[in-house]
Amino acid sequence: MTPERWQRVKDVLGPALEMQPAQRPAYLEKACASDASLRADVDRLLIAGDEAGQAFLSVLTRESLLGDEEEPNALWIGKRIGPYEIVERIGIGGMGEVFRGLRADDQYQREVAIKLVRVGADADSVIRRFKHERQILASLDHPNIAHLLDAGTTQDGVPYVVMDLIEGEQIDDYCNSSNLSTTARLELFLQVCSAVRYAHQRLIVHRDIKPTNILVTKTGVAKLLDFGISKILHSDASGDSLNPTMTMFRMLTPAYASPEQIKGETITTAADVYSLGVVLYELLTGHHPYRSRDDTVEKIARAVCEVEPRKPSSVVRVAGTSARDHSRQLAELPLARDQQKLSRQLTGDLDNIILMALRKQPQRRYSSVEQFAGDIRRHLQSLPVIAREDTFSYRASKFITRHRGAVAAAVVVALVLLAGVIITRREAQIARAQQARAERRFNDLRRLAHSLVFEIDDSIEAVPGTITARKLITQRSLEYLDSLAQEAEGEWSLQGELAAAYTKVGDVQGQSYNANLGDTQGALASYRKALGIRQTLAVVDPEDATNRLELAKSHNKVGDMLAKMGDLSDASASFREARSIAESLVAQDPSSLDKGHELILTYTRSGYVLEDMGDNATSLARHREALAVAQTLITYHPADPLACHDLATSYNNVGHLLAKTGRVREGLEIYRKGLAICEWRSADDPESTQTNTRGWLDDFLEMGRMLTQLGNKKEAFENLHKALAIGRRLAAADPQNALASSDLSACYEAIGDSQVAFGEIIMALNSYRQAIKIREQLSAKDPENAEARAELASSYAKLGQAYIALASNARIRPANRAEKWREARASLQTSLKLWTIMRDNGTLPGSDKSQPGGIAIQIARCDSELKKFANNLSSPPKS
Amino acid sequence: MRPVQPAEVTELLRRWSGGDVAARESLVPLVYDELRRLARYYLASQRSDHTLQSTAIVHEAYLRLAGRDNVHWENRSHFFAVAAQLMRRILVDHARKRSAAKRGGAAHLTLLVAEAVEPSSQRELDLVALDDALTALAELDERQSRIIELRFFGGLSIEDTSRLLEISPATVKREWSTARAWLYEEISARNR
Repeated sequence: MTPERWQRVKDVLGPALEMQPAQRPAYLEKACASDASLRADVDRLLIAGDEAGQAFLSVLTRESLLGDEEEPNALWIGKRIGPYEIVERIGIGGMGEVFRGLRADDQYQREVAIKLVRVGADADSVIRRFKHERQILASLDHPNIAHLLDAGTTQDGVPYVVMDLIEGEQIDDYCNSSNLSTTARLELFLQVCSAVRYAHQRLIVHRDIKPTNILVTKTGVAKLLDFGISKILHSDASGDSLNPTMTMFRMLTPAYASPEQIKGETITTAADVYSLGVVLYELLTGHHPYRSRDDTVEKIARAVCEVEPRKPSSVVRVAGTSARDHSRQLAELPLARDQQKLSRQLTGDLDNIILMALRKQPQRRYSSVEQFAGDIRRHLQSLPVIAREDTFSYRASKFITRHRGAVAAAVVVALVLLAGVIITRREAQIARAQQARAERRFNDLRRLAHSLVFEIDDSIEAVPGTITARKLITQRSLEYLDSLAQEAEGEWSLQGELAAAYTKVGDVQGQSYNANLGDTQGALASYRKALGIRQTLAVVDPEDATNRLELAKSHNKVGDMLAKMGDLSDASASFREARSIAESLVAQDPSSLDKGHELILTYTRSGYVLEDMGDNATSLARHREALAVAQTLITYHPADPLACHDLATSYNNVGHLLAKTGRVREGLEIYRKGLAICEWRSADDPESTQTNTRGWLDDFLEMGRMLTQLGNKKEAFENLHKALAIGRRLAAADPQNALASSDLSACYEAIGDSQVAFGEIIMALNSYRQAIKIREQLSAKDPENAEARAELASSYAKLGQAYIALASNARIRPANRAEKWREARASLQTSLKLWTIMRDNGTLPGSDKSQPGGIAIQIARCDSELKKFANNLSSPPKS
Repeated sequence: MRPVQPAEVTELLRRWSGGDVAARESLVPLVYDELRRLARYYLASQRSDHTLQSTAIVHEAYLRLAGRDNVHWENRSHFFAVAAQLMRRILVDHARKRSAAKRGGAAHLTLLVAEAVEPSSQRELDLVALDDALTALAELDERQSRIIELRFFGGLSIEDTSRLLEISPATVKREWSTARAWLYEEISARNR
């Protein structure tokens, strides 16, 4: 064909292609006149044009280009990564390849999914973020989240993630293949919400929620994959992102991304709310809110930012009448589902719920996933939902659904309706007011509770010496939270946030077992506020396991504070509450690290309190229960630091109680088991945390005490001095930290005790004085703290007793004895004064009940000895 | 690799718009590298719609190289004109390499048919054959070949193409549809 010829053919062909086939013959007859070969060329090309269809040269798929280059990476098969052997490739995704792996070591066998992450130019920053995030991600422990088991880099520097291997179907496919009803789809979706909410409470945003990331197992459990991975791979901090907008463009599936993600704006939990909205839209209607099959990425992205999605109910209706337009997606919906019926189901609540989640501005969406899920639950129970406009017919119809029986009686219809309207109007007003308030205040709360309390405090908690800064943060936070709590009354999703914030503040104020400010009274008040909120939430939704766990935690924390203040019976009651909740949670979900840990904590704390009350036998029983749970937990989480820590602590507690009840040798044996775990742990993780260091201190002290009892002087002092070295280091690093100081004083006291036991009384005096010096300061700083006071009283008593021992020693020159008795008396007197204060205000620990009486007797003895000296002095020396 | 400054690219585009051919020569390697990098990423990334969006690649390359604020139309269209050619080269090279490495046969680009009537209507487009056919078309009608290149590889809309080539949108449309018919027939004939 020549160019000239082609021009002629084109002139005829062009208009013909635009015509309906029926019009073509007449046109061609005329246009080609008598030129048969022209007609033949045009005919041939018309057929080609029709055959090509609209799709030809419209889009390219990627498979072909990807194809063989990504041929199963045989290199990896059979290789080992850590304890995992790679068995086969099971998938390939944007982030890299996914393999089936087998953990096959002596401990146990387990199938896992291993993702090898493809990294490009920004490999270093990916790996850095990876290290930073993996701890947080590994802590996500929820039945609907595919658990991250391990992460690291291979020897060649390829980052990898090891996750639970989930065998399941993509959620949308699952719904369709199982032919689920709308209600069943909503219930399945609520599982997903529960997972996302759990992660949000830990301030982890998924950022890439889409059906391919949600699998449903054969038993109908939804599992969310790849939590937080998106952030690791595509952090804005990567320097590679010259232009956030377009970086988003290529990292996301724009069809599920929120407008703010597409625009490259700040991403919050609201982005996940949005993506969940898209998923729900698809699950219920079989359609995407914006996309049609042949849309380009750009078009979808623009639509996400600019176009208001159509009501789900109207999409279904339209689709029902012109099925051809949406042939493929519609075909996936079960045919049996009547479009009209579906449309009716969606009209109203579900339309409003979904559209609320899909609002363009993050702050106009549901303020949390919990609120979103709450509305779905309310819809399922035929209760009024937040997301809707208030109309007479809606309120009335809601009312009728709930009170069908009453309304059926024709006579009362009018009355009931009238009452219903009044009641439900009020409900609606409240709902609206709450929502407005929530929306207005929510960002404030977030900024405060998350940034101030969570982010800043978490980031400095591990840094020694930051107590003062934390005190300031705490004070501001509390003022603000109190005003918010009043405002947010009855707003459930906000309540959860509030409780978390109060707990956090309480931790900073005075949690017993970590760095704290030494404000027990304040901490108790904060924990009680959190507890109150959790209790209300548990009434609203008794099935909510996350909240029940939080409730158990709150009871435990309140119990801790009470124990610290010497209110042992109330503390016991708190631990009992925590125990019954935690036991049932663990029974339902024995592999859960969170729940198991909380139960262990509960037993342990009960054990401590019982010991304080003087009931060593029951205390030992509690610690044995804790040990049993810890032993089970470690089989599920063999390498988890927390599980190891719990096991070691439980061993140590059992050992301690055994030794205390006279079975010293047996106790030492068990104690050494705990210590072995600690040693193994710290070899595994050289950057051992403060908790670990403290653990070491306790362990050395305890070993020192036991060895003293067994008469092994050399080893006893070796251990005690190790403890002292740690104590000094911790206290010096953070002089404001009450806990560190208290630990240091305990070291001095224990050394004093051993010195007394081995007859080094003069050395012991000095040790006790060191302990007293520290404890005076601690007690002055926190006068409500009964534990601190009891410790101080005990040090004075011990100092006094050491003086008595010295004064009674035959080798002391008689001339110096009176002096010793006076010292003894003074110390004992101070001790008695402190014990009496405690007895009078009811904070005297049970185990110390006999202290005042015993000390009074010793004082009497001092008095009588001193009297002898006085008599001797007044009577003339015998010649 | 030295990071490319948006100002630098903008300046090159401006000079080229003003008739400076050397500016175009300096621009090509920059754009080529960027496109190839992005294409590699796109090819590797998982997308639920499984389509390769050359449009998106070119747009992204433009934004990355010339900056978000550079909306001057002449700059933009000149950029796209270069990018379309380069995308064609990148994708076809890729396809050729693959087919050479594999079985010496033709590489395929799966073609997604929007209104699926039956499964078999998913056809595979031989990208190498398309390249050859486009070259043949250029012999008959260079402008038409260019239109396909701009639209298919550069992702330009009909309006953008019409402005760039200074012809009416109706003409672009007609040229596009007749070229498609011609190419389809040509490729089918080659495969037979």
